[in-house]
Formats: sequence, C-alpha cells, structure tokens
Amino acid sequence: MATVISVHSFRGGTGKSNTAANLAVLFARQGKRVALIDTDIPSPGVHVLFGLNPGTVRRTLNDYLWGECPIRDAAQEITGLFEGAPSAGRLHLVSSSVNAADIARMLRDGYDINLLGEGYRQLAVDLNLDILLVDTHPGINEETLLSIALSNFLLVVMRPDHQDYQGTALTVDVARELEVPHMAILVNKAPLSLDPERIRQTVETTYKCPVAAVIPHSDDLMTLASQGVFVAKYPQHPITRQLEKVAALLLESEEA
Amino acid sequence: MRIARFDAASLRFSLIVACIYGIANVLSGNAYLPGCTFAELRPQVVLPMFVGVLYGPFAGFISGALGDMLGYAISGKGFLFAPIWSLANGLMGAIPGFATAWHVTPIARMRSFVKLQVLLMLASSAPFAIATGYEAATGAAPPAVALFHLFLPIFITDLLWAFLLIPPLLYARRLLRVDIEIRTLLAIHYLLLFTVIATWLGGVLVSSDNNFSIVKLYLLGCVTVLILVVGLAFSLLLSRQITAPVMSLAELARRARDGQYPEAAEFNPLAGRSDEFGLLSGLFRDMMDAVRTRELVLRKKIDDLTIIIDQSKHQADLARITSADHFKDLKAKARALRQGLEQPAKTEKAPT
Ligand SMILES: Nc1ncnc2c1ncn2[C@@H]1O[C@H](COP(=O)(O)OP(=O)(O)OP(=O)(O)O)[C@@H](O)[C@H]1O
Ligand SMILES: [Mg+2]
Repeated sequence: MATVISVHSFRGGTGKSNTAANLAVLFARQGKRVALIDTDIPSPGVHVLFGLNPGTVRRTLNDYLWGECPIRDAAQEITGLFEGAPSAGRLHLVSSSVNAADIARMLRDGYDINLLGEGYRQLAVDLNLDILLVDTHPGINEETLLSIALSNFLLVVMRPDHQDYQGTALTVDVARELEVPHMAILVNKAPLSLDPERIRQTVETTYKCPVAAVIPHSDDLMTLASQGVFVAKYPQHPITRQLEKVAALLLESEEA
Repeated sequence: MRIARFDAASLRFSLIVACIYGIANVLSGNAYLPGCTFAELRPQVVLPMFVGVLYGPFAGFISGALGDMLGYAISGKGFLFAPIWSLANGLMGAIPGFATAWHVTPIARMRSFVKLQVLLMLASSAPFAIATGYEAATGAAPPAVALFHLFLPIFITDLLWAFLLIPPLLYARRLLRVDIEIRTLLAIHYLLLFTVIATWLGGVLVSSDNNFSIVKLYLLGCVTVLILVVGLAFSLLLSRQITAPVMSLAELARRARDGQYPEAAEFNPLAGRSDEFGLLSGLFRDMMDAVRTRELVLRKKIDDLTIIIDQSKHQADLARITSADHFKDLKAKARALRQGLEQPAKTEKAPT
C-alpha cells in the first residue's frame, strides 16, 4: 500500500519543496520506495534541489496530464544521487516542466483533474511505492484540493508570521472537511528570537493540530539556497535531526 | 537647615561626655607642651567635637562648655574660672555639630571627608582665636604671648588630635564608610599627619636642647600644619585620579544595571587607557555588549507568539470553498479515492 503524503502551505515560499525533498531522501534512506511528485505546475522547482537541470528531465508531469505518456515515463530514478541508502530504498522524482510555453499552455487550457488522481494511483502501482510525496502549489485550488483529498497525511507548512495564520487555518479546516486521516503542522523559518516550545504550544492550541516540528530560520539552509538537499549535505545538523523526527512521525501513520 | 535633633538621649550623652571631658582636663593638667603652661596635651578635645558630630551643635556645645567648667570646678578654681575659655570649648564642640546639616555624615565620599576636615579645622581654630583675641583685647596677655603661648599651641595640638582621632571614632560608629576612595584618602591623611607630628615633635626635642625658642617652635608648627593642609589638598587630587575612573566605570555599570545600557563609545575614554584600568574597562565594555545582546535575544524569546484569526473571514472563506460543486464532489469521493490508491498497490505488491 502506498501512503500519500502531501506537503502544502497556503502561502508560497514557506519551505514546502525543501521539506518534501528532505523527507523524500530520509524515507529512501530508511529503505522505503519513494516517489516525489512536483505538482507545482505554475512554478515548479523541486528538481533544482536535486541538482537536476530541466534539460535532463525528458518527460514531465505535464506530458502525462496531456495524455502524451504514461506517468512512469515522467518519473526519473534518482536513488543514485544519495549514497548510503539501503539497497531496498528507491527514490523517484516526477518533475513539472519548467518550459515557459508548457506552463502557459497548462494555465491556458487546464487539464483533466481526474488524471492527476489517476496518475498518483498508477505511479504507486508502477513503481510499487511505499510513499508518494506530493510537493504542491501554494494556496487552495482544484489541484491542491485533490492532492489534499488524496492524502493519507497532510503536512501543512507555515511560518510563524501573521500573514500565514489565516491561510493555515483555512487549509487545516478544508483538510478536516475532506476527512484527511492524518495531519500535522510544520512550523518553518521560526525566528531564533522566539522560543520553539512556545511556538509549538501556541500553534497547537490555535489550530488544534499537532505540530511535527518547529524548524528555526537557518542561515545554513538559506545559504544552501535550494542548491542541494539539506539532510544529505549536513547529516549531523540539528535541523537534520528535526527532519528525521518528522520523517519518523510520518512513517508511524504509514504503518498505522 | 537640618541639624541633629536635640533630645533627652543626646542631652544625657552630652552630660556624660562633659563629665569625662572635665575629669580628663584635670588629669591632663600636668601634661604641658613646652613653653605653654596653659595648653596641655589634651587628646580629650576630640570628645566634644565627636559629640557635636553625633548629636549636633547644642550637644557639642554643652559637652565642651560644661566639661571645661567642670574641670575648673574639680580643681577647685570654681565653675566660672575662665568663662571665655569655657565658651570657646563649647564652640569647639558646637562647630562639628553642623556635620549633619552640611551632609558630612555618613562619610562615604571624598567630598564629605573634606568637609569634615574643614569643620575640624574650624573647630580647633575659630573659638580659640576669639578667646585669645579677647585676652589680648582686655590686656590680659600681650598680643605676641596671646598668639604664641595661647592660640597656636591650642590650635595646632587640637587640630592634630582631631585629625588623628575623629576618623577612627566615626568609623567605630559606622559613620565612615571605608571604600577605595576614602581608604586612599585616609592613607595619605595619616601618612601626612604622622610625618607632620614627627617633624614637629623632632623640632620640640631639638629646640629644648639648644636655646629654646617658643616662637620658632610654633612657627615650625604653623609650617607643618600648612604642609598638612596643602598635602591633604594634593592627596585629594591624587585619590580623585585613582578613583575617578572607578567611579565613572561604576556609573556606567549602574546604568547597565538599571537597564540603560551605555553605548560602547562611552567606554572609550576609560578603555583607551594604557594601564590595568584600561584593560578592565575594555573587558567591561565587551561584557556589557555581550550581556546586552544576550538579553535582547532572551527578551524576544519571552515575547509571546500571538496568532489572531479573523473568525468571520475564516468562516466565509471556508464556506466559499466547501460550497463549490467540485468540492462537494471531491468530498463525496475522497475516501474512495484514498482507498483506491491504497488497494491496487497492495494487490500489486502482494506477489513480490
Ligand atoms: N528553515 C529555513 N531557514 C532558512 N531558509 C529556509 C528555510 N526553509 C526554507 N528556506 C529557504 O526558503 C526558500 C523557499 O523554500 P522552498 O522553495 O522550499 O519553499 P516553497 O514553499 O516550496 O516555495 P514555493 O511556494 O515558491 O514553492 C528557499 O530559498 C529555501 O532555501
Ligand atoms: Mg516549492
């Protein structure tokens, strides 16, 4: 059985792609068969974290949604990029096209939303996945609602910033409406000046939702600036430890 | 003007001291200074002065004047043997009594110590200047005798006694706080005092062997007292130089304590010194900087994160999303979709 984990945030730039990429690597290292799918069609970017330039990505999610190829053709195995994974672990990446014409066509013509859901299912079957990680476009629209609805676990990323509060509340309540089985909030880019434990308490009482982690704003992460996967670059970093805990929490629900 | 309250307790105390003073005057009656059968070696003069410092001018006056009269009475000369001198003794006790009014005590700073010295100098000179002036004016003593046989012996010895004994007495009554500033001052004060006394007593010894001259002896006395005063003035400057940077550093620290952290630049005059104090000030500046930064961080940490959600907007947004047809449709099939995702994978995986 494949567990779908969506990483979502109402606002952009909260750290969804970073979180999703790091979790994907951590899962694969634990021997899981993982696919990370970039559904942020208007502004894709997760491939950059793996150092993949768009030219090397032959087929994309766009091609699948246009009915031009089966979804497995859009998946690229990138297990080899990360040393030290147990032999059973596999990491696949489904990228969205960064081609401006492709993006424009997608925005203009749209696509059959049901194909996306079917794509998840097919991918899970084709690649015999344990985990399907979905990196989403921020906000709430038809695709993100679908991804949320399909999720076994929704990880809502938020920044402790008043611009994020209202949208996070909306995301959380929408997911509740859709009866998403598991949900947690990941607070990212927390200012060092705020006490993480207090942030956790406040967020948990406000949204009545568990907080998976409070990750501080980190210059190391910032400097890496989407040029790599943090947990691979800094295996001993405290943030890596935090992300490992998040991964463990997500796996618990997978096993449940 | 605020002066020490004169009450029953201080009256009782001044009367007791008056008795002691009177008896001491009788006992010291034979300890004369050379050339002066009138001014005895009388350390007890500090008693009325001390009473004055403790209980104010009235108490000081009573113990001085009454004690003096008692002394005459005990030695059989009668209470009013020398009323003008009794008055002078009273004034000698009264003048230091303005210590409270002049904010001298408790002595914690250089300024108050200097004020004390001024009071003591006044107390050992002015009353006796009046008394000897009176004696000279009434023709009881020729001016030269009045000056060299009366005034100067009394003034010099009383001043030395006062300078010598009043500080320890104040210390005993916890009216003298011995911090670095006062300690520096005291060290110089006593060093000078002992030098002056030694010089003068040396003069006394030498002159008593050769042809003895009272005038020269007391002129020497005047010179030594002058040296004492000038020396003390210098010591003041000196100890101020030692303590001034400490005090300004303390002032900066005080402000930091009260939460008004001084700017780093304010330390520069101190930290720029090439001596040990410059080193200390530099460290102090850096420490304060570190403390301030740390405090800033901690202060922000205790800032509470407040999350405010506009509930009516929230409900409206939520309703707008959930009332859309595609949402209702999605909601209806969400569970099935999730199961559909799980089931096929399971069946596919089963054979492997
Ligand atoms: N904890 C952190 N500390 C500092 N910088 C961070 C942190 N997390 C993420 N970032 C930085 O924030 C930027 C945005 O991150 P990311 O692309 O993962 O966000 P996103 O939510 O996927 O954005 P978008 O909505 O545009 O897809 C990146 O440059 C990333 O390096
Ligand atoms: Mg992203």
